[in-house]
Amino acid sequence: MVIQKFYWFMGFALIVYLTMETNVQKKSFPSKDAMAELGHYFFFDKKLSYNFARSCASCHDPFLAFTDGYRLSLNSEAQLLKRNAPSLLNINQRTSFDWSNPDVNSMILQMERPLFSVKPVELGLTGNEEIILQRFRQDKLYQQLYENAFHKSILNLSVKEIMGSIAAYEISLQSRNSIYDQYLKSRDSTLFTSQEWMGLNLFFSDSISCNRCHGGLDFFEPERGGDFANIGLYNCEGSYPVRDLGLQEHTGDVGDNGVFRIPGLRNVALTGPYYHDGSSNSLEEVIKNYERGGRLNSVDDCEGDGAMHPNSDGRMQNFQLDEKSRKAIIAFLHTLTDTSYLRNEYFLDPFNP
Amino acid sequence: MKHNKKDIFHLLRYLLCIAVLIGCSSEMQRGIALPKLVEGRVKEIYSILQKEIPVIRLKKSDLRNASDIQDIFLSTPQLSEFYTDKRSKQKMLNEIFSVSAARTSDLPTGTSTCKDGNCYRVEMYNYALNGTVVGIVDLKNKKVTSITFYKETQPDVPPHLVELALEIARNDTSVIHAYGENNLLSAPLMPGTKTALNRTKCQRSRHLCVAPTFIKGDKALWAIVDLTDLNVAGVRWTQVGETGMAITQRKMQNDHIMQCYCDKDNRFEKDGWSFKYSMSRSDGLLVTEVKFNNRALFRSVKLVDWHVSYSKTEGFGYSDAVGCPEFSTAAVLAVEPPYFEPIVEAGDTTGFLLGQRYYSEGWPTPCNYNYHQYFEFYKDGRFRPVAGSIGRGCGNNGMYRPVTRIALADSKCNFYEWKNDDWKHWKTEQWTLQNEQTIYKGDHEWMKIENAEKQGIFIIANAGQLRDAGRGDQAYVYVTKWDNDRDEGETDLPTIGPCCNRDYQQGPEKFMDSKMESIENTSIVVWYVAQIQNDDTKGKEYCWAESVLKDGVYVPVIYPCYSGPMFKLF
Repeated sequence: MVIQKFYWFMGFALIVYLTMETNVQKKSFPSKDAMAELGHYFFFDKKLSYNFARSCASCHDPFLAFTDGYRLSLNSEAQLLKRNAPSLLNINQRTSFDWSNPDVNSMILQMERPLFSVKPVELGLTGNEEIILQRFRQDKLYQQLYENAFHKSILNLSVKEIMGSIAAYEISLQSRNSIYDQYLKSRDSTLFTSQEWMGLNLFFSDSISCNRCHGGLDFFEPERGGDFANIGLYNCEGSYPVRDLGLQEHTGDVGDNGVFRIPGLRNVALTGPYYHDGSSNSLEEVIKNYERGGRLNSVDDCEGDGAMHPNSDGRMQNFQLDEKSRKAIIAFLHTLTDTSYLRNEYFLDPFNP
Repeated sequence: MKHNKKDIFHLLRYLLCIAVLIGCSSEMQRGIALPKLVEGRVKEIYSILQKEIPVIRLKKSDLRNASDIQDIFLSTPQLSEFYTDKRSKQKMLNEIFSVSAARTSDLPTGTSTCKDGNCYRVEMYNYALNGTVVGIVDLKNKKVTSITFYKETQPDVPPHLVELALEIARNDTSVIHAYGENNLLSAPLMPGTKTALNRTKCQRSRHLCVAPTFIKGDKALWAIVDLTDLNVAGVRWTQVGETGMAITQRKMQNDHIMQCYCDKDNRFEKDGWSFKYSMSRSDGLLVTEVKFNNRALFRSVKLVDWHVSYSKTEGFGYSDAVGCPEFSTAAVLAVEPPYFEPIVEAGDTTGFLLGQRYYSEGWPTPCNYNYHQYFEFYKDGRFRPVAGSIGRGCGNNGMYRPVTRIALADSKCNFYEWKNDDWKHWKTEQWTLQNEQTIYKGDHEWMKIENAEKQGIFIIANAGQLRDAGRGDQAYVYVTKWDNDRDEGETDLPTIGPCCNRDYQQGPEKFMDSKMESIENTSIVVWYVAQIQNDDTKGKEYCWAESVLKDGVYVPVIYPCYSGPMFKLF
């Protein structure tokens, strides 16, 4: 009887201990998954913009591999922004998060621009932080989500926590089920059509060697050289157009004129228009530019041969492709497409599933 | 002192409450009090749904006999299936959108009646099924000669519904709030043009929705009005670039000239070609009975729809149609007669073209359109139906999708696509997409249509190599069976597709049966939906137009985009 009581007591004590332990843990650390879940809602919610016009998803739509299909994105006042929206899939693999500023080396730092930028305004949080926080604090859905994530009342919600939640969500967006991924797992070349296989071999060939810049699992890790490059898109008397000088805007060094981050190629068939300014509509056009070592422009305010830009990257080299080979490379690039994630609600708009 | 502070606090709180109440009540008034037209509409719908025949009749018409025609139309027993839902037994709302004299292009093939000009076309929209019923009424004999139901299609929106949409838009707080000024009295553009909007009931045009569009500086505010639910489904902005000046040089020039082409077929023969042409109600310029050296090639070729999308993510834009101005409420109208001109290549005249232009009044300013449709007839037997946009539209990220219907004349056709270095025979109705990977045979030979004698026509893909400096079509191509006993677009079609689908669902798929009919050794119809992305980037303009000041006056600078496959005999 005594032993029985002892066991009962010990069992009860263990439960109390475990509960306490859990509570202690809950109080100390936000739950990572719950944060991402909260971030999922913030990401798709237009309440995050001062005028309810845009959300993160407005520029990063899951159906376009988390891009927006525009040459240049629009802000919450429908004004054109400076850059093309990049994909967010597999972004946890990156170490730089801006088209031209290598100092933006975390998702949190990256978010400062869309959230707080004033000229031009994007989502427009600056000066509206309290108003926007109140919108979420008053929302019962967020009260529950926030409590799950941070184990405290939503009255404590801060912009920093919103950013952390969105970052947690974005980092969790993984897409690795393309034909190419399946090939990497199985090394079964029959997964490709003959055209795609020919394209793959051309892509990695010594003569073309696209992987010099687009290397690694996600095709943004150069096999040699840095993560940033001038690929000869413009040459207005030795410079890129003043509206966007690239890395030079941050370093002040003319040697960085026209230098931009090398983008990944995953889902590239879905992420057009291409380049930092969305100035190319097709993969065919992009490849043709590489063939000639840069782009020839006949634009009134910037006429010139990008291939002759003084900062043109040394990894660029002219090559000749016939139509069949060019189409084969495009066919291979299409094998990097993975839309299987669209079957997972976690990737979709929770307000309009 | 403390007491006073408390009193002041209470007083302030009291004043605040009053202010909030006043504010709320004005909001409530704005939200609840229905505008006059909407209120009338709600009552009318309620009343109609109590009746045995739940159809809102057309009240205003230029036709003296419009009421009699509607009586005859509504007396057809065939229509009863559109009045009551079979399962719930509840009434379905219908509305007659138009009553007009039937034209050649309205009459089913082989129609022997209605030759005396005494027939009328009635278009009725079913709100519940989101479909259009088209009836031909023989007034003289007081009977209905044909009834056709087009699922998931919408007819031209009549003027009274355009007015209603405007009232809904102008009184909606989200529209007023978005525009920033309580000044929406200026005339909006494209108020009667059908639209869609993702993630609302307007998505994929499931409801009847239109988009009165208000220009503000370099932006356009779209008030997307759901005419099925009588509310604003959403408000969106697009960037339209710098606002120029309208160059109003196009007016309806001569009603009589238009009537010549809207009313009757015109026969034409030249360079071995013979065909009839006329201006259809809403399917653009139409050519029929097209022959080359007496070899029958096409039953008919026409431009069914224009779908224009302005957002890949939000899916809004316009579903438009072009045709005779006298029947249409569309904003883009044919205002000149069709014209002929020679095709000159490298100094030689190699053929001729038959063309038609369509304009919005304010072109080339934002949210005004200029379409160009033409048919090329070459001396060597090549033929090309062309659809082009001269801009400028309502945004600088527009995707234009003209829908062309090409009915082949041969009764025993077989259709092949060049794939994997061979001709792949299409045995049943299907579609394909031209993209950057598509491989062609020889000189862009993409498809071929062959008869039992192994004679036929190649379809030469437009990959940007044709003479109009197009950038390629990225086209969807569908092949459906042509049925003698079933009208699948032979007569004038309502708008068949939503503006903004990014996939194959552009409208023609509605004519593919779920079982996919055989298309071996039979008459076929080829549907061609080009996809053209506009661009306002300096130096790369495409499907775009601007007005620039030159020698003291504004002149248009145009950057057209043309689409269309080439048909080449073999």
